[in-house]
Amino acid sequence: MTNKPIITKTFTAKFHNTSIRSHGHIHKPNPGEELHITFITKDGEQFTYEVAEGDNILDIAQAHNLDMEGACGGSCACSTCHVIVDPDYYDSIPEPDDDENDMLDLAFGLTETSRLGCQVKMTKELDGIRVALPAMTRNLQIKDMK
Amino acid sequence: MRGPTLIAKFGIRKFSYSTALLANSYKVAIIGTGPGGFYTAHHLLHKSSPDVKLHIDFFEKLPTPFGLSRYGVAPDHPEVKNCEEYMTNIMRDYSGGDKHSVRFLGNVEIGKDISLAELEKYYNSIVLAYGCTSADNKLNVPGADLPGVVAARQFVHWYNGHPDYYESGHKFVPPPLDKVKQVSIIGNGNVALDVARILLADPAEHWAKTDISTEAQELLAKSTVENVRIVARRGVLESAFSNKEIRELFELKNTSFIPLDETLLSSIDKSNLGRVDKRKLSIIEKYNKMSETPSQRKWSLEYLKSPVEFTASKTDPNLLESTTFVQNELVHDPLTQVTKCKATSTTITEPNELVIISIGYQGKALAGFDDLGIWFENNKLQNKAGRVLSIESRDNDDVNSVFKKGWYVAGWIKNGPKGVIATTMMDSFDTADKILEDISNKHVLPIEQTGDIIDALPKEIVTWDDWTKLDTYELQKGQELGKSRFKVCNKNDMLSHCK
Repeated sequence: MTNKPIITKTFTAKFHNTSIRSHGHIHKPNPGEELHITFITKDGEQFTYEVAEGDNILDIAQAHNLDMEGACGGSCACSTCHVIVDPDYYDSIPEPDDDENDMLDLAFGLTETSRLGCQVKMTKELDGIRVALPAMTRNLQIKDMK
Repeated sequence: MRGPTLIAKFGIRKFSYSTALLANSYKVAIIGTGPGGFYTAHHLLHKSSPDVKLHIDFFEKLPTPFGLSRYGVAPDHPEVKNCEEYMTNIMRDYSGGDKHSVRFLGNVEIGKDISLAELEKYYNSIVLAYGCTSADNKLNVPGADLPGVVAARQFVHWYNGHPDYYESGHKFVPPPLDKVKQVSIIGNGNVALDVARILLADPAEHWAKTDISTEAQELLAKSTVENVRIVARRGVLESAFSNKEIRELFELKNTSFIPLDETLLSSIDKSNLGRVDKRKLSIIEKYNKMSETPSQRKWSLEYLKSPVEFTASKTDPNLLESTTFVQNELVHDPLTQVTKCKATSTTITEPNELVIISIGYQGKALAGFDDLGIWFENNKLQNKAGRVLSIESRDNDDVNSVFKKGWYVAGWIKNGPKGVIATTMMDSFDTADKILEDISNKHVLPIEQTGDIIDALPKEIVTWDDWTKLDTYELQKGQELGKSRFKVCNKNDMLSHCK
């Protein structure tokens, strides 16, 4: 359940220049107003992007082809855009409402700093935030074997 | 969703394409088109190596796709049914595809219309995703077979318009809700809460506009139910419902919650609770304190009670008079963190005319598993991360497991009948990863039959286009009636609308 192994894995963060998918819903940041977000994938790789204020984490992840499903289309009706937020930034995000909490309670591998990517918008306070994508179903079956 | 990227990859590789196709073309059968089946397909199609070409045949026993999304998810949860778009998009994007291709073969029952051994000859990989809702867990107590004791699965399938419950000549007879005042639901999982909402919410205001079966809608309009008791054998913390569902029930209009005995809450040690349990308690505490607004329909959560006997009504054999419960106490094992309950000698008899049992489902093996050596036991297909295990594994240590090459499992039959759609989705992606790994390693079944399997199928197949006709009819008729969808429930009627 703990997110520690993912967070503490140190990889050199690399700035990514992959082209943004044309139909992504994110905005280009104004020069000088770029905010930064780092995603840590299931495998522990880190990707940092320059993003605009107001874009949400689900849209940012999808625009950069990271594995984040958002099966409900960002309407807070599923838990498939679950991210684990760096504890240093968790309190800078407005508190989750009941609907988000309902969905988070169903998320796989929930932690104390879990949020739904579709509900977290980038703000100046969140510049530099790091979020980890939860490792999903590993080891789920072994314990259920017999 | 990832269309443009795929196309981009596509373009670059185009010249090496035709030879690659011949070498790396694989046929996959997916048995069952619920979330487990279509999320597996989604992942296969999106994650396969650029030089792998997949042909996927979806087999579905019913004329309709979507499995439990159509027949399990409550009618007032349309947002949960959004997942159906995944299947629809797959059929739209890949039906005439020049890379991957997919087909929907509805109204085909595997194991009956075609044997598993025969099926195996046509495919490199076979995914079993046929669900785990064939039967009910039973309560072994006197009176459990009385007509006033109904399995939640049957009740749910009935209000959701499942064709097995609307067969000409063998129609399911719903409980006489127009003669019932008190209902006890045994079990407090999300299915139990769905059933409670069906019984409590206003039929005209809450249900009429949903896709609930019109027969259920009509009976609910005549319902005389006044009190619904949701009874669990263990305590508040062990409640099986999710926080979303209990909050929804608390906030249901025109119903009132009969507060819990405060000591049930105050006796809980809150020091070591995780996030979900903490929130569960705070939700219950919040609504427990709210003063009860008087309304026609009341409900309660009851804990530490197990039914020990159901007694038939003396005046109407279809109804009950009462249920006798034994009082339980909790026994917590601090090492394993398992909380069990133990019966005391105290019993209580409560009046009720109807009992709905919601204590879980049973899956079943398909005909032919034994012949093929597929290991089905303990209510699921025995597997490791989605790879099906051979019956030979039964006597081996875990590390010496023998796999059934080419056979996989996804959805509820993989891990047992529990978990929300998001869980099934992630779990299905896991199965799909294993299929792709095996394909990369050419660890697949050989194709022994190169012909089209359709020629070997005896009966009328419902194609995706056929289903689309039924779908269009259901939506149109729904619009006329002010419903999100009018479900055609009888299978023969479905088939005639597919034409």
